[in-house]
Parts: sequence; structure tokens; C-alpha cells
Amino acid sequence: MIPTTILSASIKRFTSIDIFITMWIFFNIFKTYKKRNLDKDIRIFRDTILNGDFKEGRKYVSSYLSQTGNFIPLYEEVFRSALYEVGKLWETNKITVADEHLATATVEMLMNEQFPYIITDQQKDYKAVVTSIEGEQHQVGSKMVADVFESHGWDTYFLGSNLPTNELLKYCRAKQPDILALSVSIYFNMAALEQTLQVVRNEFENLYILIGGQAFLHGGKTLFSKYSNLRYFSNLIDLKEFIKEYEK
Amino acid sequence: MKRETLIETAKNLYAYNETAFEEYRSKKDKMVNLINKHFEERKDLALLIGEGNFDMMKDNHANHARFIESILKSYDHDVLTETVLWVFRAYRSHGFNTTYWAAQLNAWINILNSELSPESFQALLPIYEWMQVNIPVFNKLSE
Repeated sequence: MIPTTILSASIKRFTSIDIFITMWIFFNIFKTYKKRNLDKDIRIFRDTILNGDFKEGRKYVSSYLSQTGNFIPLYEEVFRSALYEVGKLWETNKITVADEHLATATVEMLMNEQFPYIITDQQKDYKAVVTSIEGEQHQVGSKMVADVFESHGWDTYFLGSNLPTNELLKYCRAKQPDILALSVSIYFNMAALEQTLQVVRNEFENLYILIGGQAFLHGGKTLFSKYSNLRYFSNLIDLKEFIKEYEK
Repeated sequence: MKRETLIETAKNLYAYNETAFEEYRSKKDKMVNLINKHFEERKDLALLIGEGNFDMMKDNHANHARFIESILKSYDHDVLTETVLWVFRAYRSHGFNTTYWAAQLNAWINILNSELSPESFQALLPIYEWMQVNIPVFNKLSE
């Protein structure tokens, strides 16, 4: 048996720095474990959507939401990450375009089922028009943005992908939105975004415009700093905070 | 050559030139049609791009034109380099031969020379020459 004097002397040697370091180590082990589990989950979910297995995808989503109760982390952590993985598989020729379309369509179907988490009884007197710009075929990201606005009780008009700019102008004239949100998924479309912004700004001088999308991962965030009433968002959580601020 | 060095070499290839940008933008669609026609008529096309990749090649040409348009509007040497590396990686994995890139860039240079004014062509040429000269580097770094 360890003599108590030696034991208490040993314990006393642990300073607050030792405790802090120990806690930091355990925290990082926990973080790594949680990230590895999330990475593993995302790979499983990725394979599920690549198989077009809607039933299995639904089970996964249901289990995830039963823990978080919030669709935004589902969109950010799971859907977005899994679709990013799908994109990488196409890049390395491990899947075909058809596989990629099936995965995207499965995610869109799962997103459509999230309405109970999105629709609110609280209706606010704000309008948002959300779309992917002309030439941009991807729309999952802009649909996610539309769902965030919807969840805040805004009248949200989601116009899908590849909307001709003149049609966008006509629609904005008719609806007079408070915010226009534009999405660009591939960097090739940055010049098209610039043209869209010029045209929209010429007619709607004070319309608040939000821009975002996967294209901005490659650059371009400062390209549009010359426009007033325009903001770039990289994620839905920041968008949610912006909406709360805007409503004040 | 390291990736960082490659990015550095792209630093001063182009400074915003409104005339060159507007000319490129206005002729972009015509130039894409020209390059597609050029490759359609090549008897060695399958050797360059692999079997069954014609539509993907046309997508590449359309995307190339849209990308260059973006770059001419707002030049970013980092984005230029990373995008070219991505293109090499993605298209090679889909069966495009390394010889396709030299053939493509030669064709683009000829078309730009014939379609753009001399001043606009000279403004863009350094970008294309940089891409041509560094084909072996893109191949290596995108493996």
C-alpha cells in the first residue's frame, strides 16, 4: 500500500497546467473520435445516396435528426460533405455522371422530407428570391439556402438552377424581394455571376444580395466587394445569424 | 517543380484589360464552336481523348472558355493554377491523353489569333504560353 504521505505528495505535484494539458489531450482525443465517427458516417451516407437507396437514407436522416432536431447541421455536416465526396469520386473517374445525378437527386428527395423541421407557423413580412444563376446547373446549395429562409418564416421563392437573367429580373420586378440570394457551384461561372450582379444592380439599386456556393472555395470572395448591399456566405449557420440580424 | 513555385510563375501573366475581356466575352461562343469543329475533324481524336469522350471534350472546351472569361475579368494566379491542375487530374482520370493538352492549347492559340484583335490577343497570350510550357509540370503535379 502506498503511504499516504507519498500519495498526497504525488497528487500535489499535479499543477493546474498539468490538469489543463490532460484535459486538452482528452478533449482532442474525443474530437478525433467524434470526427472519425462523423467521417465514417458520411462515407456510409455517401454510399447510400450513390445507390439511390432512399429508404436507407431516410433511416439515417431520421436517426440524425432525432439527436440534433435541427436540419441545418444535417445539411452542412452530412448532405454537403457527402455530396462533396461524390464530386471527388467523379473527379477520379470512380463514378459516372449518372451516378452523381442519382446521388444528388436522392439528397434532394431527402431534403424535401425535412419540411416539418423547416416550415414554421410564424410568418414574417419579408421576401427572399433564391436561385442558381444562368448557366449554373447545380441547385442543391441554393435549395438549402431557400430552406433556411423558409424556416425563418420568410416568403421564399426558390427558382431552381440555370435561371435566365432576364427571367430573374422579371421575377424580381413582380415580387419585389427584400433579399436576392445567388448561388454559383463551379468557378467557371464567376464571370456570369459578375454579369448577373451588374444587370440586377442596374435595375435594383438597393436590393440586398447574398452570394455563395462551392465555386467560392477556389477563390473570388473579394471579387464583388465593389458592390454595396452585397454579402458572401460560406455556410448556412452564418446565413441564419445574418437573417436574425436583418430582422432586428 | 513544386506546386508553390508553379503558382508563383503565374503571378504576372495578365493585368485587367477591358478591351481584351469584352472581345473574348463577345466571341467566346463562336470560338468554342471553332475548336469543337477543329477536333471533330481530327483523325487522331480517339488517341487524344480516349473512346467515348467526345461530349466530355466539348464540355471541357465550353468550361475552358467560361473559365478564361472569369480569369480575364478578375485575374487570380492561384485560382488559375489550381483550376488547371484540377482539370488535368479530372480529365486524365476519364481517359484523356496528355497529348490532348498540347493539341488543345495550340488550337486555342490559333483561334484566338484569328478571332481577336492583335492587341487583345497579345494581352491573353502569356496565359496560354504559360499553360503550354508547363504541361509536363501539370501532368506531374496532378498525379
